[in-house]
Amino acid sequence: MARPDQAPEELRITSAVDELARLYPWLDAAANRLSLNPNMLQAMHVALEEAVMNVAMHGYPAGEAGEIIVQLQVEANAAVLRVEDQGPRFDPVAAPENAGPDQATPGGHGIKLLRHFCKDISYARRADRNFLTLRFPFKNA
Amino acid sequence: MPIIIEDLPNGITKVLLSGRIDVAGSAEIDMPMSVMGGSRQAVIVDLSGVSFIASLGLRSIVLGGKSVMRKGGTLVLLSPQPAVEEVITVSGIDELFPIFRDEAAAIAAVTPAG
Repeated sequence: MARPDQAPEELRITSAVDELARLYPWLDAAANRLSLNPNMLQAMHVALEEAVMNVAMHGYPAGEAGEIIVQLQVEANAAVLRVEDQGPRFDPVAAPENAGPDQATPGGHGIKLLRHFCKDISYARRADRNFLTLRFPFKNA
Repeated sequence: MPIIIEDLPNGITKVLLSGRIDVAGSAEIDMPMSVMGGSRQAVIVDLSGVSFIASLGLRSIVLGGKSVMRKGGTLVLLSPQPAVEEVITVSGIDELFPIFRDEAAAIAAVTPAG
């Protein structure tokens, strides 16, 4: 059973590709330490990849790796992923979906997938940073 | 390597993807998918061994598939696991590249008429 009293798990990476690959093992290990139900992980992995790739692809200029901070925390009714970056303002909650199967850009499918796999997304811009919060409610909460 | 390219009879190509097509997996399949797309006409992408994919991995498949289509060819998807299929259908990729569960049906779908 997930315990809401535990400190958040945190990963600090840059937007370089070899750093981004650390997301998945980190999420698995952090979720395990926080005793999350493994059934939640598929949706969390897809949503986290989309959220972080939005930052890596659109947030920082090409060739310039910026810092991305990811946190996982258990709250009373949900597992919560937070993604923080210093890139330009980018609000995936308000961004257009670029719908249509012809859209080969990662951003287009990414926003759609992000919204499908996480129904509770909130965005804030504070002190020149983007803060994205993804909430995954516990099924039997 | 998460990608194996096999030649089937009658000019049909089978691309076997496997494992996690995440950031690292996508980087590995990008170039082979692009080369494949530029040179093949009738392609079946077997997804049965793929445990994870998101938009980055889909992008590699879509770019390769579009090259195949530009030459008048066909690319179809075969037997994704349920979690992978959900990602594909939410993206709408299956409207461009239909999903088959049966290899014989996939072969029939990519075989040029006549």
